[in-house]
Amino acid sequence: MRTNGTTISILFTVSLAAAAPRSNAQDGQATAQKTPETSCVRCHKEIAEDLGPQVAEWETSVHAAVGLSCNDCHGGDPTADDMLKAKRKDAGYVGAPKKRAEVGPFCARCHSDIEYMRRFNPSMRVDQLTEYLTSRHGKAVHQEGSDKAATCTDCHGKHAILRVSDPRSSVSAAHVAETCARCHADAARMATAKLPTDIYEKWKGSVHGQRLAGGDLSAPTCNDCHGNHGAMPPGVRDVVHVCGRCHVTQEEHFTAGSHRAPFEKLGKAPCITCHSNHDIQHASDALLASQPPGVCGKCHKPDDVCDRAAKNMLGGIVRLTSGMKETEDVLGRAEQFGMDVSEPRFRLSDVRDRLTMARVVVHRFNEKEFADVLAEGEKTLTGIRKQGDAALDEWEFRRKGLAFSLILIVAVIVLLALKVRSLERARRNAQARAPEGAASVRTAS
Amino acid sequence: MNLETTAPPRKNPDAGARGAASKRGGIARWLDDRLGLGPLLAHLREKDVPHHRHSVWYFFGGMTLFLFTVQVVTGILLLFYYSPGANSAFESVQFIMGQVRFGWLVRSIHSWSANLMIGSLFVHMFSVFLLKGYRAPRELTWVTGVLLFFVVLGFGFSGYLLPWNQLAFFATKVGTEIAGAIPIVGHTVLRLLRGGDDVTGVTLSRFFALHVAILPIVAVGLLSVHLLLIQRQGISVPLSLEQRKAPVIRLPFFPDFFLRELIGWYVALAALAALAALDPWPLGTKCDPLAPAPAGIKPEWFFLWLYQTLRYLPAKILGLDGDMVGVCFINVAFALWIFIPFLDKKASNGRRSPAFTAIGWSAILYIIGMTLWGHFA
Repeated sequence: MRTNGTTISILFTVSLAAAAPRSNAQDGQATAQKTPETSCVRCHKEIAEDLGPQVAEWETSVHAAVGLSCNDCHGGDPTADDMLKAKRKDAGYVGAPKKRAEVGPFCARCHSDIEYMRRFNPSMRVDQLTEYLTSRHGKAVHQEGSDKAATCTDCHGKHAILRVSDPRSSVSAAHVAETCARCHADAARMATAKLPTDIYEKWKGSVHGQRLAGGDLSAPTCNDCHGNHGAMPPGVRDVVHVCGRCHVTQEEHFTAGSHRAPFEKLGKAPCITCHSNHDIQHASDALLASQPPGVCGKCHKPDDVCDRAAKNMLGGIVRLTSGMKETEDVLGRAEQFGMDVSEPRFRLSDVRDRLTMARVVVHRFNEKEFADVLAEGEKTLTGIRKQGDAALDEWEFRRKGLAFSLILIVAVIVLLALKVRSLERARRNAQARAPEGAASVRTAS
Repeated sequence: MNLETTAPPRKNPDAGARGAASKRGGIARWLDDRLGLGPLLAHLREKDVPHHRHSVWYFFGGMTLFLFTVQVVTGILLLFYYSPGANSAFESVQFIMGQVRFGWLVRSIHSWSANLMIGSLFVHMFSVFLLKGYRAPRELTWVTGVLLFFVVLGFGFSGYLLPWNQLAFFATKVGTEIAGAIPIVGHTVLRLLRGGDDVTGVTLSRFFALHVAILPIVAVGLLSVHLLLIQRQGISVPLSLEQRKAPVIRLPFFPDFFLRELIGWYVALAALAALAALDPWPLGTKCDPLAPAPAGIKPEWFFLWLYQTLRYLPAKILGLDGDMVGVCFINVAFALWIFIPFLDKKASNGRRSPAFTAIGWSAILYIIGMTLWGHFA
């Protein structure tokens, strides 16, 4: 039955697309900045309390910006001043979709037509409807007859449609989660679908939500994991690929590691079993501990072979982290004393890389590989620490050298002062012994 | 009219010199036969210096000379490793600081002694001014001294850029812009200094040439004349003491005054060693011409009073560009400063000149005030 439903929808789409009225922008008018005022606009502006706001919304839209007017979607004769003439069926008037299932095909008349869309944006995709029909939303609307599941206009709006790249758009990276939450945080709407309504709040508090709130538009939001037009919760096996789109190396290690098979066997989803899904927090080293916030204890018994391995890995990471901190302190002190430690400071970034790599290699759950990565970091760190200690030793040498040279200089100053005093005394004595006339003041011209 | 004591009684200089030379044998005699050092040695032996309550100010001239010598020696040592060029200057100074044995000490002493030398020079110049040491017949000593002061400021300005770090780059940019505000020739001077419209590697090469070749030649020339004049005319007695007609003790230059001077030099050396070891001169970060200027950028302390003066001038003064008027005013003030001995006729005639004393104190207070304001602003 589902197959039949999809087929009907696609046939409906094709038939609508064939009858698509595209008068204004069809003949090379795609880049027009301003559409000529049509009879639709003139009349609907006059009946402001009813359909006027829609004209105002349309005027701000991407459609208006590229020169598309009312009749490009709704059909009719935009030159006729008489409403009945303008809305004649034989003038191509189709009006607005009346059912939710009509919305997707209505938009797809243009958005699924590669020839047509190419005029506005040669790289724009035209498979949105096809994707949508496979999504949970599309299936609910087109196969189950839902009057609540989302369709194009629920996310993009009706008349005030903006480009996805426009920051004001309801589906821009910064706003898409709010848009999804309009339905998914609405208990009444979600009651039928039996879906939780705290997802948005959880995501907002997650490391992803926080990054987006901090202005990082590359941080994942709803559609990055679930898809947009083909929105569907990822399956248990597929989660690793979803996360792996960004966390590439972690996925590689997990897929090649020892935990993949038991996870599959137990039906546990990769990634989210340890890290959760919507309320993902910053992954701390403590996740490797046996007790909460450690997550290994969820499956492993205390002190079993895996628990011991996790403890060893955690110990290694803690050792390298604290070693780095101590070395940074040593370099900081040396810097405060005016020593040049820029080179070891630069090399510290290698250790930082190794630490990051060790944290990533953890996902393979292979002690030997982890130990190899860690050992390299520790070796580099030992070298840097030696440089830091050498800088402090050099500072000590300088201090002692300064003290020694100052003692010498002060000794010379004292000797000179004594000599000056003795000369002065000798001069006074000479003056006292000299005959009165010789010591008297004389006036020189 | 100078008042002098005669202790101990002097002999005939030439006779004394010949006598001294004849008493020596070996190398001294050999040299005396060829160079005729007798009169010079006799002059040094006969040379004396007034000794009074203001004598302490005399030491700043010698201290400046000592610090200049330190500059020359450490500068030559730095030249062994310094490599001028936008891509090598910073790295070579980094190498000197980090890899060359005692390179950090040499560079720090060079930088610190430059600052101490300028400080000592300020004290020397203003003490001479307030004691009216410029009065006839020592006008040329003053003129060469003030010219030396400008040359030393030039050393400071050109040397500051050589490490090619971020602060130096922007300080030079601002400094050369000020030179560009000189009317008529400003733009030409700016381009001449920068070697183009912007501060680039060409500017660095020019400043290097200025710092290690042109300014040293000018400085040595002026310094020679300055010292020669001091030897010819002797050290002046302050006008206030001369007017009192009180007896002034005169100390033999060797060894009495020289030993005292030596104490001052050793004190300066101790200060230099302590500063260089305890607070090595920082290198900063390498210059990035595309980076924004560091916040709160200021010139070195000895230019701060000039910078502060120009900074708070209104944009327009009598319809003219404020900076241009300021630069013109400063240039005129500097020119007048050179010709002070010819303007202060009263002092040259042995009379008090309170107006010039007031000018001197005003200049000191202005420089100190503006420098402190600029530092804490």
